[in-house]
Amino acid sequence: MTVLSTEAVCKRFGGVEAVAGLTIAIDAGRITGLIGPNGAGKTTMVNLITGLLQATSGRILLHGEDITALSANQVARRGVARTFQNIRLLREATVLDNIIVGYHIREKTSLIENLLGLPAARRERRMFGSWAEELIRRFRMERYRDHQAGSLSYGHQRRVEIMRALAMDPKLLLLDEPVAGMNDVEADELGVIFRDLAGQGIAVLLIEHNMRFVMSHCEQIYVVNAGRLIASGTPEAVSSDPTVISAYLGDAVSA
Amino acid sequence: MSDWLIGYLPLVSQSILACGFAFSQYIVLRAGVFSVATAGLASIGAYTAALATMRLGAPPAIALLASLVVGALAGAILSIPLARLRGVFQAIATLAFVQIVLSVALYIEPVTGGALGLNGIPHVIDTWHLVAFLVIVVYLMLTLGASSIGRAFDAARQDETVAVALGISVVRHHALAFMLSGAIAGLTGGLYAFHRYSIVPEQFGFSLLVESLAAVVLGGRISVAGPIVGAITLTVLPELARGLAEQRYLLHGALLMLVIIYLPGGIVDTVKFRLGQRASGRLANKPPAPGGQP
Repeated sequence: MTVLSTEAVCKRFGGVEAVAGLTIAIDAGRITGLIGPNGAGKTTMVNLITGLLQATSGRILLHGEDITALSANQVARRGVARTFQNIRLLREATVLDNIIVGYHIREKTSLIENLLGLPAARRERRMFGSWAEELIRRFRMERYRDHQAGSLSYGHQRRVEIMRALAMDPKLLLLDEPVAGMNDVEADELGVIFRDLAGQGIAVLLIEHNMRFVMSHCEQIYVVNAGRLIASGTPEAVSSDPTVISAYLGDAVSA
Repeated sequence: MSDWLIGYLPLVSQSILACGFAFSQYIVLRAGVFSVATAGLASIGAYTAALATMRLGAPPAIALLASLVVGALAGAILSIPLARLRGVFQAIATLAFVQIVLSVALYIEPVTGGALGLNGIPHVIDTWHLVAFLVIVVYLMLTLGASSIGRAFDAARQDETVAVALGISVVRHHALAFMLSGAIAGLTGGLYAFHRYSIVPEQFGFSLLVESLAAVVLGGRISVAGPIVGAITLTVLPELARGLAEQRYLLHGALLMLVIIYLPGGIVDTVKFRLGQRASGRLANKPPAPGGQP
């Protein structure tokens, strides 16, 4: 089942066409890869889908609903979660609080209940707290629960970001280079978690430079270069595609 | 109550009113809004309360309620044109708002009494009323800070992009912060009017703006204790240094500079942060804080 599809999406920054008519589909229950050299427009694509940027032309559909013109917080409310290429945590807050803020869209209590600190609001806060503890256990981060997020190592900060995204109970999860700067063991630990999430029916879009990681975890791969789609298909098909090889390695070798 | 304590009551009242203004400033800063509208909103509240009683004969309780509601409304309305502004532009726009309120109070003499202000406002607010007011405000600030609103404010302040990616409407929360700021400033202004017998436009001008902002910068802008510590320090210090009364603003300035340099998060937040670092066993290898705590 297709969760998100884009139809000929374009994004122009002045004279630069960062995304030039991309049409992709992201299905529930599997990991879709989006790869390409630096500057290919991958992060721009994530920003377009999440509503941080507005497309110049084209349409973006979430479960068939046109979300092209929605603002970022409205897109998030519809179950689209993301992580950032350059980690963005609330650095002053603890790991636990960083995750709890991710439950925002699942709050049921009213403004007044929260303002006056009524029991319903407190109960909800405790419930989110215990959910967050569960996530922390799943990611084996118990030791760091009360540490300031800004003081953690790079790999741990990435985990906190992913936990925060999962707190939103997303239908679609966009991971912008989630294993950058990790070694293979750490990366594969996360890979198992991502597969697990896909197994629960979440649509996962994985943007990554680490080819080995993409090839071993994605079922469907889109390859972009200079804002255009140059290949798509299974990992095997994509990795043997001559245009992909030349985009990554250059054209010099014509063996 | 001993005579000794009674002698200090005016100072207590003054400190509490300063705390009210500081909390109005605190709540917008907490949400990441660099508004300095507190002085203008306080003016609106003070005049609303005074006029409601003196011209319309409203009982003080109703007049105070009106100052709270009108202050909140003014804050909400102010947030609309400012929704797209950030940082220093918000500061300039809200500074202009304070000047406009000041000018209006000066020029519509038949209503506001112009530069002479309003005199003979009934004195119905005593120190114990103010203490009750402060207790309520502190309770609300504490519950709000620990609630989902506080979390959304913190997210919007620290990283707006993250906030919207988590589904937090920054526009709505900024508007809410403006409303709360207006409600607190308006009510504090109303209490001020009923405590001081008279009000003049100049009392809600640039110096109140600076004092409210300075209280939060000095005390800390995250912990609820921050504005209290800042407001009390700024109110009591000139009394302790009576001989320097003439140099009051010089003293304020010097104090602020010392705090900004040595305690950049304000007194309360910097101390809390350092204790927190120590607690999590990560003193890092930063040198200890310079010993110049003012």
